[in-house]
Amino acid sequence: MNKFLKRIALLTALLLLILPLLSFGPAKASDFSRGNGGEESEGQHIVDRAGLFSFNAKRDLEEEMARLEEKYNIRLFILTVYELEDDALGRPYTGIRAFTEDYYDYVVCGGVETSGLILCVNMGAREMWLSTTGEELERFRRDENFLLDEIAERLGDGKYDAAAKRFVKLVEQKHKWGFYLPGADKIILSLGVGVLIGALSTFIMAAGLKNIRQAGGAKTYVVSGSFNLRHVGELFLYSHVTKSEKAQSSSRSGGGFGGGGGSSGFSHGGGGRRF
Amino acid sequence: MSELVSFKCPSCGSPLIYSAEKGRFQCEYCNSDFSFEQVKNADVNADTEFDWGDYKENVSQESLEGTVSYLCHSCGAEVITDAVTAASFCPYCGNTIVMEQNLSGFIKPNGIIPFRIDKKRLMEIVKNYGKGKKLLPRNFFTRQKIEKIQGLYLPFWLYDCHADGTMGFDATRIRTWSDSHYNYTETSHYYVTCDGSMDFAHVPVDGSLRMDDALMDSIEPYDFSDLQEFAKGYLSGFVAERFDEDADSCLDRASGRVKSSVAGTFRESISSSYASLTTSRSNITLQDTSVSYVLLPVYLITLQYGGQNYTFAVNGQTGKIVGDLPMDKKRAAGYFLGISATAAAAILALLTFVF
Repeated sequence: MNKFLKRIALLTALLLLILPLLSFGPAKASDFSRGNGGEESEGQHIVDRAGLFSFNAKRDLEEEMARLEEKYNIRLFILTVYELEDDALGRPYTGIRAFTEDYYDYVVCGGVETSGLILCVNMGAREMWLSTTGEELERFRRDENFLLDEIAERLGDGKYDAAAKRFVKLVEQKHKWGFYLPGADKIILSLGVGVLIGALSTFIMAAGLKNIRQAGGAKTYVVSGSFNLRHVGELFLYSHVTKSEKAQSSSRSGGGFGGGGGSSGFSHGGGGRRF
Repeated sequence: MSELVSFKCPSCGSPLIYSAEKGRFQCEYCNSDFSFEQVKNADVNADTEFDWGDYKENVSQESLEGTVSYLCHSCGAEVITDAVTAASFCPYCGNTIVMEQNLSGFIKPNGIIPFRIDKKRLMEIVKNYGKGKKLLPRNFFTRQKIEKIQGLYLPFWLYDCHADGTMGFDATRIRTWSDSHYNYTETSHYYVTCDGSMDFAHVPVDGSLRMDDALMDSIEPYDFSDLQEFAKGYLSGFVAERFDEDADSCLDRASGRVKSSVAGTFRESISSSYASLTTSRSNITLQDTSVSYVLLPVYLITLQYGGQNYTFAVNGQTGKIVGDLPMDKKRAAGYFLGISATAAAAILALLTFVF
């Protein structure tokens, strides 16, 4: 029994020693954790360590992302975590950006520069990062803010399945049409403003049909030079002073969020949001 | 020593020429001809100028309702018209008929502005009026309809007056300054008084009850430097009306306009000195008010659309056209939908591709 216990303790100690090495983080693909069942990157598109997505959503997303990868020859990945893990050398990542880029470069793509996108959600800090590489970097560079806002909005509302589905859908739209199809909010806004402009224009046109007005004055008939302002008197009554505090100029620190880039040396684009 | 006597046409006031061949007097202007007896009777022409005081004193309680019959001097036909008509056409021979009792004696107009816009120019003005009006029903101004436009001399009262007044205003001045922490605003309140005077000449008010006041106001202004001494010859080819709304009744409208202009001028003259002005007292009186009675040229046409009448007036001197036009509801709906859809598409494209 003692022998058995000793073996268990030895095995546990061994596991505790090698566990950091197995866990995700270092600058080489082999250093990232590959284990833990569903976290395998090969052939998979979602690693949901934060447990955000429903079973059905995961299944549907996997299918859809696989289809898009094949169709557009890109790599698509979604990663959720509770906190950023350390790299292989045990150093903490300075920001979600480097973490996401390294994960994509080493874990998802095995150190091979591959066109694609990865969405990383860090629930602990309630932040997200979208990283693009290769051709996708250029494709999404101009209007990535829209994509980020759309995802962040849903994440902020706790609609995690919807956020992931929106991400995949917008990626497909961008590939298929070259732009994002407008959402219902934009359509409603456009229709509302359009109707307003239409109504205003029609009203102006209708007003142009009427020009009969009762005369209000007789300035046309003033005898030239006859105006004589004999006296103007001014009586001071009272005064009051109000004061308002001056607006202090506030400085906002730039940068910081997202941190520095990854360690692979590959070019990455993208951006992040807090939610 | 003989005295040259010239007769004027009883219909239009133009000089008459004696035709030896016919033994009758002929008017080349309105193409009428008259016997000597007719001309002699008609020439008993009271050349008195209109005076509102004399009129009120001498012509009280005129009845201007119902119809009146006239005898056409040219063809002898009996013409029936309403009591305010001063000149019209004989429906049988087309000659101008001047209703003497509506244009002479105590109610002879002080002046007249002749028509300066002929029919050809009028056609252009009316056609241009419809241009660019997208919601106007198609063919609303057809040539056939436009040709029915009638030239009218309408009665107007012209008021001259001296306006004298005092006004009081609640006024404020604002001064702002700041130090390192605060912005300060000082609002000073004043009571401002001013008094002065202005003269007005020829403030027109139409003296016709059946004319819409706003329509008549809208065709202003007239250039009164072109005001001519009244002669019936100007009426040839046009319809004319005498006033049926007297000068006292119309004075309120003129007075209101004058007072409004005086108040506006007082305010404008001091407004630059204050941040805000609110009128608190106004006492404007009209003095030395005099009125004259004139006929002013107006083209009128009433067209029907959708069961409604639309009346247009053109200033016969300046060509200014006024009148509310009907709206084609189907076209309006089409424009509304078209503009809305185009604007919505443009905004959607902007939101999609730019933002």
